[in-house]
Amino acid sequence: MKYIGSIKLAIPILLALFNTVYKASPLNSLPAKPQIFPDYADITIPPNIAPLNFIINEKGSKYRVEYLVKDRIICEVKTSSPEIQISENKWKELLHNARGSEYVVKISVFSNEWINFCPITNRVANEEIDPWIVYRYLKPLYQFYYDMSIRQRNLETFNEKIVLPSWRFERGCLNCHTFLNHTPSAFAFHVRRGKEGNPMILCISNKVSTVDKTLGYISFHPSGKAIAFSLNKLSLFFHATGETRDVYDEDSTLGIYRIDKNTIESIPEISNPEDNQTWPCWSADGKYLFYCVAKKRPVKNYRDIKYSLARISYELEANKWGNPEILVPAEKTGLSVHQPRISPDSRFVLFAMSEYGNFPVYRLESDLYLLNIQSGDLKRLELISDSSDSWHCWSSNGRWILFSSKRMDGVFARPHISYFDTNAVSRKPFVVPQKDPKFYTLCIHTFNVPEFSKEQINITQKQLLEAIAGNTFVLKPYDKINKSKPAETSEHYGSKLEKRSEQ
Amino acid sequence: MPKQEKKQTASFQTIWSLIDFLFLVILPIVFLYCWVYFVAEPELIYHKQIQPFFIDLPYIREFLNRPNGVSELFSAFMLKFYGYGVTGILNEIILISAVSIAGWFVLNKFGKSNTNKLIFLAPAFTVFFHIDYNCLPFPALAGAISGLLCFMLLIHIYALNRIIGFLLFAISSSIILWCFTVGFLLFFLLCSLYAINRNRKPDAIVFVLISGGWVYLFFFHYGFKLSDFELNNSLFGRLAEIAIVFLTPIIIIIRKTSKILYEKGIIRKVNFKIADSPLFYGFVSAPLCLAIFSCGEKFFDWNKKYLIQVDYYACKHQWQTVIDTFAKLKSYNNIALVQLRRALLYTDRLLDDYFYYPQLKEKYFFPDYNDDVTVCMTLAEFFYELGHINFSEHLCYESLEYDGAKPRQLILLSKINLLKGKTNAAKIFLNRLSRDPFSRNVAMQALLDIQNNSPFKNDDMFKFVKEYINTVPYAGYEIRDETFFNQLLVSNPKNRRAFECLIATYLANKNLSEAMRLVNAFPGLGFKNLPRHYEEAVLVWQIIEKHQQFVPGKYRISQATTMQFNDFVRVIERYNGNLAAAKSELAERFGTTYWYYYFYEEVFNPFLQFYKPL
Repeated sequence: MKYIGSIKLAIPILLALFNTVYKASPLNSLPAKPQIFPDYADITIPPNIAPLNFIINEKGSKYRVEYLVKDRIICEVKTSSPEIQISENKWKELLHNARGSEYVVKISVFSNEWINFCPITNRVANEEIDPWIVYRYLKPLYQFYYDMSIRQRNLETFNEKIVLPSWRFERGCLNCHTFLNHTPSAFAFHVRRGKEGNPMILCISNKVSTVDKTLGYISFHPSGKAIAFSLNKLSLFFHATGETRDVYDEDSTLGIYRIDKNTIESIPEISNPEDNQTWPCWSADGKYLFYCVAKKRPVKNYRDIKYSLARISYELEANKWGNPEILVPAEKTGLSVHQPRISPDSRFVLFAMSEYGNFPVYRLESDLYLLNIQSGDLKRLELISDSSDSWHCWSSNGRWILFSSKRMDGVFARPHISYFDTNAVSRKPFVVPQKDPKFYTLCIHTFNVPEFSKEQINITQKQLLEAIAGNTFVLKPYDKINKSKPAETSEHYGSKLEKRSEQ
Repeated sequence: MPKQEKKQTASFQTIWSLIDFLFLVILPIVFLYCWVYFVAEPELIYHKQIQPFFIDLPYIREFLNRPNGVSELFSAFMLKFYGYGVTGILNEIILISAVSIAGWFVLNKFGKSNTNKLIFLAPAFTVFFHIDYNCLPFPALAGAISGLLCFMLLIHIYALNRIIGFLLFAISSSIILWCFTVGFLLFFLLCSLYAINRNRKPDAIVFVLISGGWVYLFFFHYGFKLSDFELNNSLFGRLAEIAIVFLTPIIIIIRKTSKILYEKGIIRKVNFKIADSPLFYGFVSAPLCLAIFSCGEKFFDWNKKYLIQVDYYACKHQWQTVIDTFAKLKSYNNIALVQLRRALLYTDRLLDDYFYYPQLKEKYFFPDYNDDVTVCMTLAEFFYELGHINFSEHLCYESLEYDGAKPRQLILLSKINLLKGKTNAAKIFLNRLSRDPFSRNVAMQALLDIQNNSPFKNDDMFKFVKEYINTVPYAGYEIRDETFFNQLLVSNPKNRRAFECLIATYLANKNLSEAMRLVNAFPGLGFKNLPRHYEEAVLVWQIIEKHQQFVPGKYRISQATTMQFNDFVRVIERYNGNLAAAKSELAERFGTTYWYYYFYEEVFNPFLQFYKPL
């Protein structure tokens, strides 16, 4: 008992000493901002994002980081490691206080003496971001695939769940997923099961069924009654210099799957055997189908394949198509349009453009562009990089853009978020935060097709597996499309599964 | 009994126990050690079966999220020790000894008997894991240890309170089922047997019901398949798995059955009673070990061992050993053939001995990876060394996907990305490698070198590739050998490796016009004499293809080659130009010459194991 008094005395002394070490008067102040990874400086973030943990890439033996809102320190991190991790509760308090305004990050590094770096100022937007994102998680793929999964991540925490891993169905391929109006109870994706066929898995109101038809890129009509799809005959080819992979689109056409009628129909108004049509996307009001169109070319002229952005009106109830119109002609831009995505208010089309072709994730020059549908104004988004930006989508409130970018290293596509303000200006993007700030320096996987979701997907792996195995309700749509059209998608990942399973 | 007699009996029993210990415990372990060290060879096990392993939370979480994942992770970790010679074997021996000792304790819980000592034969069965380099003992060992230890813990609690015992069983069995599947089977079996042994049959039913509930939940509710829990797909591996994991319950069942039969007087007549049998195991274990050894030797895949050796020595750049080992093969695969060609290239024998060895049916220099994905990494390394980094990158990614992130793949991808100017990507591959505790030093050094702007400064190959990198644009679904090598020569005409491969390809395709066109390039690439096969091709070109005026630059065809060719022509003349009739004689005498290949499009080399005598 006699030691308790001494301990009580010692604790404040030790604390005082500790504080002296960390709070010694800074002798130096650098005008430069500190090097941090990931780059979380001068960005606009949602008020419901997980902590932005980072690494300070400045040499030192001690690090001190202060988070301030309106000159009030909300929290402080003192560590001997350059890895800065802030507690989730403190972070929430910070976001709560800074919502609609700014917060400041003051970084000091001790290396013989304390050095104060120029503070970093970030803005916290008023508008929340959809709390979940869903993406394909896979290594940089070429021809063979063995290990991939569709995953969902809560942006408000670091919680990540596997929706479906490929090892649970003979290591097949999981293709692009799409949601109906950002709701996880209705979504669709396409799988490759090798010899057993490549069906589309369709989930409506949390009930999973199998559509016994191979559909390529898909887009839900906002009513949930139809899905626009592309039938693509794509092939992967290789370059001996520069970026290795590339994709050639030999034959692509669009169609519509009427879920309510269980029919597959072509779109005669745009069906031109001399053209390729791909990347369908419905406008938020469901009145227009946007897509990309290009003249077919032989493979040797692959550099001349440049897609234009087009749209065609549609009346769902009458099942009536209007006249197609070209919105962004490739002849005018000299570039090829990919992956149009319409903003929730139907005012803007966000799309990628690159020098040629139809697969922007393999084109390093691919950037995101914005078209104002009403005014026709076209601009390259401010968030451009010198590496591939693609697989973009809008949040349900239209204020956040999520996209995959290779800007960090030129090889791995990472999910980035950018704030899209009311003046149609995109702010500096930031990579989706991870609990371990070193995550992106270690991860050899790419994040493809990141999509926002308002809620968590609650469908179990077993439900999806049963659908993939054809053990659930199987829809065999009546195919009205001319049989001379390519009946199946042969995407670049596809053809080797049989060989693999044999091996 | 007189005192002296008692003393004699005691000392006799001590000696007997010692002999028993030597034969029953030490012999199987020595046997296992010798097998792994001298027959299977730990380095080869490591080379063939190396798996990615990282100390990294997201990586570990991936394993925790799938059935039997912990077992896999444990196996991947233990496997790394084979790279350090005896350490790997010692680990294996320690683990199998732990299984034996735990099994022995468990058996004693069911009643003390000499039969219990049979459990110490388990190490002998472990050799079957090393029959064909397709499976490893660690998942089974981990399962056996977890099952036995959980059982030992459970019976103590079960003895104190049955309800808590059931609860503990319910919790621990689900964990074992997820982490070490075979351990679950062992655990459930032992618990049920224990309850039966204590005449508590209803308790055994409870154990069965709880286990059945878990099995139902996993297989029917969550939809897992039995294959998701599979440890390995080799027949020998499965047999060894059963032998090691289920040896304890098997002994219990045999003992119990024999006791019942003995008590009922059924087996007394033949004087066979296992339950109380005398100390005779020392004499049984030696022949049993020998029998297992013979069986193992019979089924051991020697050809596979040589195939692995070819690849292993090629990775160590011991080219002459590669060539020597190739000659031992009874059949070869694409990897061995590519490594042989590398070896011939690096020992400057490609154009001298190319037709001494077998050719691909399609006459390609490189095999088609579409038909054999396992060859991707070997091809990726070869492409890289020649300077074609884009195609090397392609195949290295294929291998990364198929084989996983092993050090070999990660290092090559980091080099390729450095050469392509993607330093950050190169660092990612090295950072990942640094999370492998066994490769950490290599990765950290490479990262430091990058930081100091002298990446891979001690790597001569890296410097070579930097100088000879392909710069000729090309786009296509695939690239054929001739285009591939020509691009490299256009990028840098001094690329002797590409030149030799190109000539070999021309000769294999009998494209002699192109091969002869390049004769003037030989002096500039440091050839003092024309290589043997090129000389042979010149003679074919001059005489058979009637280009008598052709002069091979400053070189002269050696007299020996000319004389041999004259002999070759004479044999054909003797058969009046009937090539089919002359084949046998020509094969015996000229089977490894270019002329023989030119006429028959095959090679015959009686010195290679896989060529059957004519």
